[in-house]
Amino acid sequence: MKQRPSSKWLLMLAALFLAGCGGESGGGGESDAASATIDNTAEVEADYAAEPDFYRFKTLDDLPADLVWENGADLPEIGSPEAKKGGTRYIALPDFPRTLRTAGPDSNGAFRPYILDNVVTLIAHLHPDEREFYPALAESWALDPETSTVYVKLDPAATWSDGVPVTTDDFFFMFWFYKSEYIRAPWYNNWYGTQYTNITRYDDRTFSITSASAKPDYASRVLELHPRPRHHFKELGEDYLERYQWRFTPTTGAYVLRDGDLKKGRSIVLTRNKDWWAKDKKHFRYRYNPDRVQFNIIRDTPKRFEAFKRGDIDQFGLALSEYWYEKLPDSDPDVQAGYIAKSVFYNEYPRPPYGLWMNTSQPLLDDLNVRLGVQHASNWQLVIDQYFRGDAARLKTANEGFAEFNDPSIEPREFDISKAQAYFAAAGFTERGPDGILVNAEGQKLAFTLSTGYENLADVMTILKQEAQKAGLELRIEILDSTTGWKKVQEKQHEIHLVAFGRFLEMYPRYWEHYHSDNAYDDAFLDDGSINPDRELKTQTNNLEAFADFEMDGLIDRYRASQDKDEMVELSHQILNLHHEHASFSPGWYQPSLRLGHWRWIRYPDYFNHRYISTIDDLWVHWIDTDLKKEVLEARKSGKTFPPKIQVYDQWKP
Amino acid sequence: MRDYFLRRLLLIPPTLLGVTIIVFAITRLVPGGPLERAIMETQQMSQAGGGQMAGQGMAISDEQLEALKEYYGFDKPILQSYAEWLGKVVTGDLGSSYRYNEPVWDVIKERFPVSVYYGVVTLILTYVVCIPLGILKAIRHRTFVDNLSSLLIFVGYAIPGYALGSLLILFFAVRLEWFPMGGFVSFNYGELSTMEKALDLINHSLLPLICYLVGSFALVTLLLKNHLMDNLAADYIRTAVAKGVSFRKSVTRHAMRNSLIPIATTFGQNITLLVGGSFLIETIFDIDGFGLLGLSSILDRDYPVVMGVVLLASLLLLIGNIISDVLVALVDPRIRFS
Repeated sequence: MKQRPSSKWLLMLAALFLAGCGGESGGGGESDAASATIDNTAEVEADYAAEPDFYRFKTLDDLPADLVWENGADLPEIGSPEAKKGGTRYIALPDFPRTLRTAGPDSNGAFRPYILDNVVTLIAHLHPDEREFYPALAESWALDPETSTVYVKLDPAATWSDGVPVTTDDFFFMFWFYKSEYIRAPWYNNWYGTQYTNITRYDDRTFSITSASAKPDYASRVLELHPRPRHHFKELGEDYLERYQWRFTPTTGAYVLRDGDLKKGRSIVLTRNKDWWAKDKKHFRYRYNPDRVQFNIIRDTPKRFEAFKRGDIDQFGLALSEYWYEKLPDSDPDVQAGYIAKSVFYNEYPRPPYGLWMNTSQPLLDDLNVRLGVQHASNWQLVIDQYFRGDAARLKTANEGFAEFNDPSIEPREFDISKAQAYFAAAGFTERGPDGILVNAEGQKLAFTLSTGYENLADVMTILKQEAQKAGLELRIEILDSTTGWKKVQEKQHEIHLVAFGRFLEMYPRYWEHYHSDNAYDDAFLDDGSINPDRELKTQTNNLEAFADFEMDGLIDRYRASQDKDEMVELSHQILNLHHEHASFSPGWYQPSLRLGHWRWIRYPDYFNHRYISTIDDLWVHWIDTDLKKEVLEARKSGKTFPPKIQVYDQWKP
Repeated sequence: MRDYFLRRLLLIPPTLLGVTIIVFAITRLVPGGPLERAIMETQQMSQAGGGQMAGQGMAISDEQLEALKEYYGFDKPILQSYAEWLGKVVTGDLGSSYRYNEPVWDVIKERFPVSVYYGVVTLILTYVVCIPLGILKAIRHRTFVDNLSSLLIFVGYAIPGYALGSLLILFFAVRLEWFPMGGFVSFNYGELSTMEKALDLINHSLLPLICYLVGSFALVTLLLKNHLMDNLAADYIRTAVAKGVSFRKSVTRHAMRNSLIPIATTFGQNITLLVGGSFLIETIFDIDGFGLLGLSSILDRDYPVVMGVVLLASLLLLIGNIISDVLVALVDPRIRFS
C-alpha cells in the first residue's frame, strides 16, 4: 500500500495559516495621506490684496470716535455656582465621526457639536433667556446701523487651545477659509461670499465686519461668527480634505482632543482644557464641568437605551413617547429607586416644520380644491394623540417659533371628512369607486404617493393614510432611506412628501428658499406677471411645493430687502397668510418640550429651564457629582434607594 | 493537471471584470448617492443645532453642483468612470473613500485583524469540536448522546446568529451584566497588562463567537458523521478488522482519512475569512470588522469602498475555490483534473 506523503496535510495546514495571515495590526493612527509641505501664506496674502474692498487694513486712528461700546456683561450668569469640575461623562454616538474637520463634506454629523457648535466661543453669544448678547471672544463691541457694521475688540486673554492668541488675523482668515473652494462647501462659499462685504483691521485685536445689508439682525450675523486659527491652516490647499481629515483643529472652547485619544471606529475622548482662557470668565465659569468626555459607538437606538439603563452612558433623550411612557415609565424600578431621574422642560425655539409638502407642479395637486381637500383629510390630531400621546402640539404654519414674525391668527385646517369631500367634489371627484376611493368623471382615481425619508415615522404615515381613506383619498405610502427621499424631493419627483427642515435660533424666518418662484421654475413669469408658458421646473432647490406666485415673489423681494423690523413683521404676516391660502403645505406637529432621562449623578442647576435652547447639551451647564456616582452605584448593589426624581419645568409651556 | 489550474487562473480576471461591472452599474443606477447626502447634510438637517447654517436661505448654483459632481466622480459617463476605476485598480490603487477621505485599501486593511481574529477562532473551534463530535456520533449512532447532540446542533442551526446575538445581549449583558454589550475590546485596552488584555478580549468575544459558531457546527459535524458511517460500513474496514487491526485504528487510520475528503473540499473557502464576518452579528455587537464595513459603506453610499470590498471578496472567493480543488486533488487520489 503506497503511503501518500503527509505533506498534503501540511498543505492544508498551510492554507489555514494563509487564512490567518494578512492581518497586520491596523492602528488608529493618523493617516499621512498628505505629507508634502505646503505654505499658503503667499496665496492668502495675494488674495487679501486682490480684494482691497473686502479686506481692509487700517490703524486705530481710523476707528470712528463716536462709537458706543457695549459688552452685555450684566446679563444673568449661566450655570450654577454649585457646579463642580471633575468626572467623566459617557456618551454613545450612533456612528463613528466621519472626520474631525468642521467644514467640507461629511463634517456636519452628530459629533460636531462636541468639538464646535456647542463648545466653541463665538465673538458673543445670545443669552438663552434674554436674547441679548453676552461677551465671549469679544471684550466689547459697537454697532453702526447706518453702515450695518459691527466693531469688535477682542478679549486680550482669548487664546486657541494650543496657546496661540486669537487675533484679528484669525477673522480675516475665517473669510478666506469659508470663501475658499478648497473646502468643497459651496454653501459656505455662498454665505460668506454674499452676506458680508468687508472686514477691516485696526490692530491685532480690533476689527470691524460689515454685512451686505442692514437687516434687523445684522449684529447677530457678525457677533455669532467664530474665527479659524490662521496658524493651523498654513497647509490648507487642494488636498484640504485628506490633509485635515483627522487633525483636531485648535479651539477657543473648553474641550480638546489629545493625541492618541481617538481610536478610529471605536472611541474618542475629549479632555477639559485646564488652561482654557475663559475658565474664570462670567457666563463660562460654571459650565463645561466634566474633566473628560468619553464617546463610544453604539449604532442601534434600542441598544443605546440598554447601555444607558446599565449605567454605561449617563443620559438618554426621551423625546419619543415610546421611551418616556413605556421603556422608562415613572414606575420603572430604577426611577422609583431614585437612581435615574427624569426631567422634562419646555423651550421656545424655531420649530422644524414637520408636515406634508405638496408638489403643485404635479397633476391634480395644481388644483387648489384638491389641496384643500388633502388638508382636511389629514388627521394630525390623531397623530398627535396616538403617536405622540398628546405631548406634541399642532403646527400652525411652516414657520413657527419666530416670535412676532408669526401670525397667531392663522389656524391650521382641522380634520373634517365632510369639508374634505366638499372640496374634492368641487375638483370633480364626486363618485366613490368599489374600493371607497373617489374617482372623477374620466375615471381618474384620487390617489397620491405619500413619501418620506424618515423611516422612523412609518406609523405616522400609516395613521394619515388610514384617516385619508375615510374621505375617499388614497395615499400610497413610500418610505425611503434618507438620501433617496431627499433626492426625490430635490428632483421634484414627489407628489406629497413628509419632511422637515432644520431650524436654528434666528430673528426671522427665511422665505425665499421655500416660496420664491426663483426656486420653483426658470423664468416662472413674464414681465406682466402672467405665467410663462415655456417655464421649466427647477430642481435642486428647497421650494418643495413648486410654489410660484407673482404676488408672493413681490412680498418676498421686499422682505429680503427690508431693513426695518416692523415692516418685515408685517410682510411676514402677509407671506404666511398667502402661503396658508395656497394650502400647499399641511402643517403637522412640533414637540414643545425636551425630555431627558439621566442618572442621579448628572446634576443640573436648579434653574435648569433655559428658554431658547434646542438641545439639553446646548449650554453644558451640567456637572458630574463623582461622590454621588459612587454612592448610587453602591446603592444599586445594596438595594438602598433615594427619593424618586421626576421634574417638570413648564414655565415656557405653550 | 497543470493546464487545468492555468485555465482556472486565467478565468479569474474576466470573472472579476463581470462582477465589478455589475456592481459599478448598480452604484450608478440606485437613487440617492453621496452627492445627495452632501447636499442634504448642509441644506436640510442641522443635527448639530445652533451655529451658522449656511445652507439655508442659499441656493447652490449649477456650476457649484457640477463641481460637487466632479468631486464625487459623477461627472463622466458610466463606462468612462469604470474604465478609469479599473485603470487605477490595475496599478493597485482602489481609489479614495468618500466617507473617510482615505485610500480605500487603508480603510479595508484596518478591518482585517478584527475579522481574521473572529474568522480563525471560529474555524479552529469548529474543527476542534466538530471532528471529534462527528466521530463520536458516528460510532454511537442512535444512542442518547447522538440524539441529544443532533437536537442541539439543529436547534443552533435553525436560530439565526443575529437573533441569538440580541437575546444574548439582553440576557447576559443587560440583565445579568456579566459581559460587555459589544465592541472588540474595552476602551482602556491600551492600559491593561498582557494577561488582562487577553481576558478582556475573551470577555468581549464570547457572546459574538457563540453566534458565529451555532450555525457552522451542524454542517461539518453531520458531513463527517455521515461519511464516516458510510466508510465504516465499507468492505475495506471489515477487511481491516478481520485482519486484526483494532477498531480504533481502523477508524482513525482508514475511515477517518477518507471521511475528511468532503471536508477538505470546502476548506479552501476559508480564505474568505479575511473578508468574512457576518454584517448582522458585527452590527449587533458593534464590532468594527469587515462585515460592518461592507454594510455601512452601502448605507453611506461610500461607493469606492463598496467596490473595493466586492473586488476583494470576489477575488478571495475565486482563489479559495481553486485552493479547494488543489486540496481535493491532493487528498483524493481518484481525482485527476485533465
